[in-house]
Parts: sequence; C-alpha cells; structure tokens
Amino acid sequence: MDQKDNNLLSALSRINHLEPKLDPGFADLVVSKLGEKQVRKKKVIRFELSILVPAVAAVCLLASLLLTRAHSPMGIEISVPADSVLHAASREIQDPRLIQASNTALSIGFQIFGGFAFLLCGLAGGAAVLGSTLRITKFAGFAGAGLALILSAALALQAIFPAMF
Amino acid sequence: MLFRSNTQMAKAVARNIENPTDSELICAALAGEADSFRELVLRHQDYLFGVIWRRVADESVAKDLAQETFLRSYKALASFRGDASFRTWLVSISMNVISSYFSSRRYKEWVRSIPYEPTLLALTIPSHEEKLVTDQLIRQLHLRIAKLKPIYREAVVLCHLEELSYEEAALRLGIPVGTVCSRVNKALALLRKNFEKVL
Repeated sequence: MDQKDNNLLSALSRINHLEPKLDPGFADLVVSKLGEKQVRKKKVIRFELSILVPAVAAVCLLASLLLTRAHSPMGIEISVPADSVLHAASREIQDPRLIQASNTALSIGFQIFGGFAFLLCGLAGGAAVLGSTLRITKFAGFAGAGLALILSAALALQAIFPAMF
Repeated sequence: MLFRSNTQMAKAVARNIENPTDSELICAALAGEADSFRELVLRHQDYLFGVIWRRVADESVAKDLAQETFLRSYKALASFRGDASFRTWLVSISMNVISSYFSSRRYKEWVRSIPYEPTLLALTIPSHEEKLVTDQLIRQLHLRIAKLKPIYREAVVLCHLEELSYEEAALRLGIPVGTVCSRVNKALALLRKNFEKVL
C-alpha cells in the first residue's frame, strides 16, 4: 500500500467527522406532515398517457389501413407512394379523372391518419421514457419515438411534395 | 414485542411511563398518539440521518429522504411485526427510499452539476501542502462516493464509512466475502483515479 492509498483511506475515515446535525425541529416537522396526503399526480398522468396514447395511435393506424384497403386496389401496403397507387389503380379503372380524384383523397387520408398515428407513437415512446426508470425501456422508448418521428415527417413531406417520392 | 390490544399496551405504558420501549411507542402511535411517534423519530432521527447522509453526500437531500422514510414508516407501522428492531426496520425502508432517489431525475441533475473533479480539486488544495487532506477534499471525496455505481458505493460505505468488517458487510449485502473485497477494491481504485493528482 503506497502513500496515495494511505491518504485515500485516511480521507475516507474522516468523512464521518463532517456529518451535519439535524435541526432540533426535525421531529416536529415530520409529525406535522403525518396527516398530509401525498399527491402523485405526475405519475398518474404519465401512466394514463402511456396507455391512452398508444391506444389512440393504434386506432389511427387501423383507420389508415382500412382506408387504404377500402379504396385502393393495392390492399394493405403502407409504403406505397402516390404515383404507384395511381399506376396500379389505372389498370382497373379506366377514367383518369376518377383515378386522380380517388387517389388524391386516398393519399391525403392515408397520410393524415398515418402521420397522426406515427406522431402519437412518438408521443407514446416519449411517455414511456418519462414514466420509466429502466434503461432498456428508455432505449426502446427513444428508438420508437425517433422512428415514429422520422416516419411521420416522411409522410408529411410526401403529402406536401408528392413529386419527391 | 407488540401488543395484541390497546388495553394491553396501555397497561405496559403505565408500567413503564418514564422510559417506554420502541414497541410500546409503536403501539401508542398506532392508537393515534402523535407524540409517541414523535418520540420514536427523536430516538432514531440522528442514526437514520447518518445512514442516509453517508450514501447521498448532501445534507438537504438526506433530510428530505429521512423525512420520507419516517412518513413511509408511519404509514406501514401496522405491518411492523417486531421480528427485527424498529431501527433495523427503519434502515430497510430508508434503503428503498435511497434507491428511489438514486434513480430519480433529481439525482441525475445533481450528478451533472458537479464539475470535473481534478481541476477543481487541484485548485482547492494549496500547492505547498500537497499531502494535507483538507475538509474540502474530504467533501469532494464524499461526493465521488455518491457518484459511484450502487454496488461499489454500498461496499465502500459499509466497509469504510460505517466501518463494518468484510464479513459483516457480506452478510448485510447477502453476497460472498470475496465479492465484497473486489467491490471495495474497485471502488477505491475509481476514487483514487479521481484524486491521483492531489492525493
């Protein structure tokens, strides 16, 4: 054991000498708080968010999928760009104006619901991050939130600039 | 031992009114006497505060956690069976409270607020007294202990601050003696690394 170790152990043994004293009124303070009800509103809100937000997100995703299935000959295919939908639909329906109108409505509806759903997934991830202290849950929450935000941004871009996709 | 009824408790308190035991005070507190619980707090507050302060290294946080521990103990007083002493029971509650604190945002913000140590320490130690261990240095060392990972912090607190033997620490932690030794050595190595410029 060298001098540094001796100094460290000496310092460790002196930590207890620095222990502060409690205020004389500490016991009275504790007793005065016995009747108080502790409100844990924050945790409740986080818990409700972590249940409610994913549920709404799931409903929105389902709505966007049903919308796609009901109107599109492509069936359930989330990542289909507007041009492909138009191309596929034009093979079965011959009126280009109808195809255009249908496709536009479909595309916008899908993008709105889908974007909203992904955004909510992001919020759910955020809520999971806030509500949890586990490292793995936090990592999953961050990853989910990031992915959802990227997807919602992509859908928004597709809605604004359809020519880009 | 705990009493089965308030009458039994009242008789015991009457017998021993000058110096009631913890069990008698607990029974009286369960019967609604706030003064009895106050007496319990007065008896154990300094010990409990020390236990918490050695782990969190912050006076105001230690006071808050001690208060939280007493409040939790009051709520759970009816479930105290008397298998161990009241003090031991309090300490076990405080360990849960401390654990919650170390995973809280408050602790993480506190850790971030501590500046990078070697520069600060080098400035606080007079150059002509290199081997002098000042109070400032000791406080900094205590802060470093609170920043250690839980397994290392608990080992070094038990063995060096609470001065338990390795065997006693192993019993307390429920791990082999060899594991305690390795954790303490690792903790000391980490602390030494932080302080090598000044120690």
